[in-house]
Amino acid sequence: MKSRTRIPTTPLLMILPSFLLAMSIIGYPILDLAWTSMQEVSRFGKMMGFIGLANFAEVFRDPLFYSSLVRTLIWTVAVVGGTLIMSLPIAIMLNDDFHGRGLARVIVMLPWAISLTMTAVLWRWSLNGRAGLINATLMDFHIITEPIEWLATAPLAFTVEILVGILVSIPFTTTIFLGGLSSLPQDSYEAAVVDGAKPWELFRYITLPLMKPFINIAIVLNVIYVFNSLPIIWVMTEGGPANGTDILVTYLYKLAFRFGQLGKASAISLIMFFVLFVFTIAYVLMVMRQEHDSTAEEVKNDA
Amino acid sequence: MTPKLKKSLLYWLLLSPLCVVILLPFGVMFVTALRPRDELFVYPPTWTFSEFRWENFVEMWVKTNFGGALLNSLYVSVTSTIIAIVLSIPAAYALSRYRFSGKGLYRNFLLMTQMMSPIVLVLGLFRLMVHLNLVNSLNSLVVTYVAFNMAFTIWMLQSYFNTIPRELEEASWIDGATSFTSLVKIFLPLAVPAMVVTAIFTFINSWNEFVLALTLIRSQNDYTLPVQIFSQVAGRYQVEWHHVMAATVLATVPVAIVFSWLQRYLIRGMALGAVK
Amino acid sequence: MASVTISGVEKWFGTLQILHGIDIDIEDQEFVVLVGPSGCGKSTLLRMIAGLEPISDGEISIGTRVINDVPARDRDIAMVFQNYALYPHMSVYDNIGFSLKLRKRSKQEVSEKISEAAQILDLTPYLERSPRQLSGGQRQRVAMGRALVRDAQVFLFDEPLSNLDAKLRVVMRTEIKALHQRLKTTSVYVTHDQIEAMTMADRIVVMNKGRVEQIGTPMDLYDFPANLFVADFIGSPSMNFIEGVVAADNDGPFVMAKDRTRLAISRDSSAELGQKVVYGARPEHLVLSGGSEGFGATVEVIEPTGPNIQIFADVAGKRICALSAERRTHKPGQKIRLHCPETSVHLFDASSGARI
Repeated sequence: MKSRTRIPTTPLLMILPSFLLAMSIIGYPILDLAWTSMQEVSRFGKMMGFIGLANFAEVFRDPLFYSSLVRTLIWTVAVVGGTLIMSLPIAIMLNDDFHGRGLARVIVMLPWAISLTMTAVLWRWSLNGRAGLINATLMDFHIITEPIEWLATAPLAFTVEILVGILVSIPFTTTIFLGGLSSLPQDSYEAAVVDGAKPWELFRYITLPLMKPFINIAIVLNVIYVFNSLPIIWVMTEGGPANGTDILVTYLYKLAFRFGQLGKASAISLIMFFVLFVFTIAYVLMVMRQEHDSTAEEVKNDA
Repeated sequence: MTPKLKKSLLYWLLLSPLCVVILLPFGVMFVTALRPRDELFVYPPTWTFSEFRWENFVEMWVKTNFGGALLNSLYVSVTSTIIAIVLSIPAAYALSRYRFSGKGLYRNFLLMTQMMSPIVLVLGLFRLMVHLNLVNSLNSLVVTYVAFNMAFTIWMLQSYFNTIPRELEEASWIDGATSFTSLVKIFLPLAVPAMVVTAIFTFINSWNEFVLALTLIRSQNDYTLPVQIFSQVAGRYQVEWHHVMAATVLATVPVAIVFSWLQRYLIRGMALGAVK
Repeated sequence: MASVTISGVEKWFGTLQILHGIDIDIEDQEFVVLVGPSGCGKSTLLRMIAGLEPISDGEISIGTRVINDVPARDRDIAMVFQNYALYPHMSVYDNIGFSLKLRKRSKQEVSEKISEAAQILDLTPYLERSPRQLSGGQRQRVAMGRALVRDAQVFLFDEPLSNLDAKLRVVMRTEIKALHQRLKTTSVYVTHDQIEAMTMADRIVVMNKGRVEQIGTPMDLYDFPANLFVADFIGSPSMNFIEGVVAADNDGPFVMAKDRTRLAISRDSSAELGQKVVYGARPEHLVLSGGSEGFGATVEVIEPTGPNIQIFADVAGKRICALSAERRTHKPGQKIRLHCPETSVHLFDASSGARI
């Protein structure tokens, strides 16, 4: 008697509800955006007919698109770079045993607990030119003599927003690094110490190479999360003054919900979707490579 | 001085600028929420103020419809958390326990949905909700929050499920349990802590969400807390900052406390699953 | 209680074949040990008997009932897992009684059975504890207790002692054997430890790469290993092997090793002249010879174990091991002569590995 390999339907039924929901809430809008981006759309959202790639052409003629794009690149490089440079030493310290480590962890993770909106509201008020307590503090320490209007000029406002962007990205990145650090083999360090390595050499030759996969993942994820940074800019300056702090996400939001240019906004959404898609694929490949290594082990131990 | 003490001092010295920058706005929040209205705009600005004005909270509650927004936020967060967990448990169980074709594909699909930022899809989502006649309904937020959180919940649950030995269920089958009995009597009781932790994080995510709430909810009565507080700040000639800060205290402090208490589980969960 | 019949059983994971046509007949009341290196398929086979792994081809029956399509819960078997698989959220009492509760036995019967099992296993003082409050040995006993109360037809053991420390392992293995002598339940026991297999089994099944290499009583396997794999796997320290060619002279047949060392074999041997063979001799059969008997060897390492001294020596370019009960000390580099009685020599065909 030969028992055929059954097609396991149970697990498929179990994943079906979540799959369907994700498909309709996340999959459908993508198709809708693709459709809308090739339509002429009136201010009130009425489809006026197929116009091919005209919306895309309009986007690429728009100087505001380019200035937002450039600012998005600056934002991404500055926020991701700044976050990584800050997070690795923080994670190394938090992974080490010292007095008050529990408290330090709570403080460093705190920005993660608060919504970006609230954080931005707090900073907007703290940086208020007339009554903000940041100015008060700086004046108390005689660092400045006059209050500074932090958010009134675009370059200064954008710099401040980047710093807030770094601040709110540190907890997540530090968490990834802490996960990585706790998985590093302790005996490599002991072996290196026995071999006579100094602390800096330990970092350079053991920690950094072993942490490389985690650093890569942190880079990709932080780039992806740049797309989620809208509340910071939206709440603190709403992209202003004079579109001077707009990045693509805020510019897109304005086009769609303030100026009613739905066709153009769809086109930008789609362009951003593809950028996001590329980074997501990069991330999936990275995770898969890591999992491949660990599942290969599992299979070996399984048999 | 012991080496550990020396190290602790050095570490705190290095961490202190960051800690100050993180804590400063919270200090600002408290001293603003508690100061009398006419001491908001004094020149030069100062941290000190004449009296603790606790009535600010009461005033704010009444004037800004804080209670309504709080209820909206609670409704959206609780409902979406429950639905997300209920839908995620079977999926996470399937991923953790079964070998089936398409498993890898499904995991990558989840990964992609997790990476999808709401802002990129917000226009399409808005049009979808218009079609479904759900704009201005809190349920539009419930559905989208469930969808956007599911990858996270499935992943967290799956990584915890993986730590529950499969042999426990096998032992119960041999002891005579059906799959269902085994699930109810053996597996779920052991999975409760994981489900609670995951649910709390999902709750916090929904509680804090801004872009979708701003877009899909148009009438003031249906605002959730972040949008409500934002609306007190944005596009107003006169901002009542002491009210805004009082509202921010109430909206953030409880969440921050719960999060701080649970963050080590998040780190553990991520170490287990998401970023091995 | 019942017999277990495994015939033509195969296991495939996708295109990967794990088990190749396994045939084993386990008699009623027998204690059979499946032994082999890790990855040989022994655990998979056990899990197929238990109903935890589908059977790709072939048939398994318990008694006269074919159980291929019977779910685990209806097979009337009990199993002890490698990691014990105790339910962490239940007390010892509930762990042992879980199967009875599922079978809707009366409260009184459940409690009687549990106290009887606890009595046998010395668990009575621990019944209210939770598993994590127990030591490794106690957890092991609870796992046994869970199987005991079932009155199952067959007991299955999946490396149950591998998580215990060496001393406790020896104690528990005697206890399990004593238990079996008392209950006489048909048992299938999986282990990678050949000493466990030798000491516990009525019959041993040696497996390798998804195939059965040999089935037999412990002493059968030890004295008459069917092939090189079994000869090498059973016995510690392992059998010594020296490759050579069968030759003969006036003193009789012998195996000529590479460096022309002469290794005498029995006149009754069916080995043919010129056949390439492997000469096998167990360490305890190699005795130090005073005269010209045997073959020359150079001492390399000496390891006293207490009852014996293990002498590692170079013979024909291979390091072999001899056991000596004499207290005489040898020095590395010293030339000695070793001799193996011809009746104790094992001969294997060099290409097929089969016993000659």
